[in-house]
Amino acid sequence: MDRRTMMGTLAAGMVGAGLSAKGLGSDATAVPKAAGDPLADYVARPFDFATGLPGLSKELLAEHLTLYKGYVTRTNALLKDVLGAEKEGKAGAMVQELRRRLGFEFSGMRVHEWYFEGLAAKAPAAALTHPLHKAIDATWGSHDAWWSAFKATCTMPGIGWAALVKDPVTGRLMNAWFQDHENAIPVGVQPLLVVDVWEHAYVRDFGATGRGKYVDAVKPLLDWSVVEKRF
Amino acid sequence: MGNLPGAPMAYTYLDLTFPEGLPGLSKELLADHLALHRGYVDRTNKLLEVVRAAETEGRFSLELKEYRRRLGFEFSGMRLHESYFRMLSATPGAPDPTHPLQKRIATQWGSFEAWWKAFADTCTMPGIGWGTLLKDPTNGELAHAFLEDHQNGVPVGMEVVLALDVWEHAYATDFRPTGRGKYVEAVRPLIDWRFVEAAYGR
Ligand SMILES: [Fe+2]
Ligand SMILES: [Fe+2]
Repeated sequence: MDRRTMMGTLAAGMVGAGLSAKGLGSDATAVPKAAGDPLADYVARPFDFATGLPGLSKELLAEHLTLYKGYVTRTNALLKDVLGAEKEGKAGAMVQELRRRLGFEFSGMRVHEWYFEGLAAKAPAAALTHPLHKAIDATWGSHDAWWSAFKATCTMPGIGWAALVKDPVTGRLMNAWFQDHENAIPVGVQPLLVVDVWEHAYVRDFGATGRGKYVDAVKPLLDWSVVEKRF
Repeated sequence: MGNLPGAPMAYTYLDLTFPEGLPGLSKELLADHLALHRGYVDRTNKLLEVVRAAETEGRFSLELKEYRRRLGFEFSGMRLHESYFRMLSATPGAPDPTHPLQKRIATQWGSFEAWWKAFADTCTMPGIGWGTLLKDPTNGELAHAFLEDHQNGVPVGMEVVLALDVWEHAYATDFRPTGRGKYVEAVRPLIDWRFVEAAYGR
């Protein structure tokens, strides 16, 4: 299959689930709702950081998890409200604005799940023989060069997320900046690694100017087995 | 630095031309629109290479940060247009009621007509962007979203099943700037449901 055919074939499903079905993008981060009921509520994942993580206080993490649960609650309420209005045939400004808000709430829920899932007190180191690391080397030259670039992405002024993402169509890796949760998104890419750099993620432990220190503190907590699985 | 083995390839243009136009959409409009898409491909390639070179060489600057932010605009502009143009067909497949996508639409909205009404309402959101039908890959749930510009207001982690371009360039030539509603209805019979259903998967 030449590249153009590949683009054509994959572009067809590229932003769609066809890809996952073909095994090109596995969603290791799946957060199942209750199986069987398509309209069941999302359930907040039970992340357990009760004793904190080395370098991040348990108070900071507990508050962060509370914020996360708020996104889950609001996503459920929003999806219910929008679908309810749509089923009643309601249209126009009220429904349209509710729909616009889905980007914020749903993304806030999902990216927090990816973030917390990727943190571990005893994080496995990167398995350098894994294809992910070969792809990182091929793209940036070395893991260290990539990390410098990723850290520079984390220190983008403003609130949001630094993300290492993969284009499932071509396999290309990129560092991306998600503004807030839902803006400046390269649509259709698969996040492999996300780091929360909203102020609530670090100010309590590192101060308002401590984002760089926070990113350094997170580095040894990154669970590369999770990141590798997402690749 | 030169390309390393396995280094990323450039993105390519779509192999679509619509030389006769499509029923309800003029060939002039479509030719202009495809030309815009090529611009997104060119700028995405340029941007990715500029960013990668700077990152690889450790040249971290304000400019680099802004280029990274712009990636959302250019990459999404490229990718969404690919989804849109490949979804349009002069000989589209009709919805297959036995396909999981159609069943899911029926489960969530009650009927295809009720769903279409909600989707059309999403597409007539004031401002420029995309009316989209999205799928949460973790559970198959469908939702509508209006993607502002290309890259904003995106429910991250959801997958695009159907994307309808409602920037003014998508319709003003044929329907005038006030004709977005007419344009959305004109696109409806051009939607190739084989493509959309494949994007949803099973
Ligand atoms: Fe957060
Ligand atoms: Fe367009």
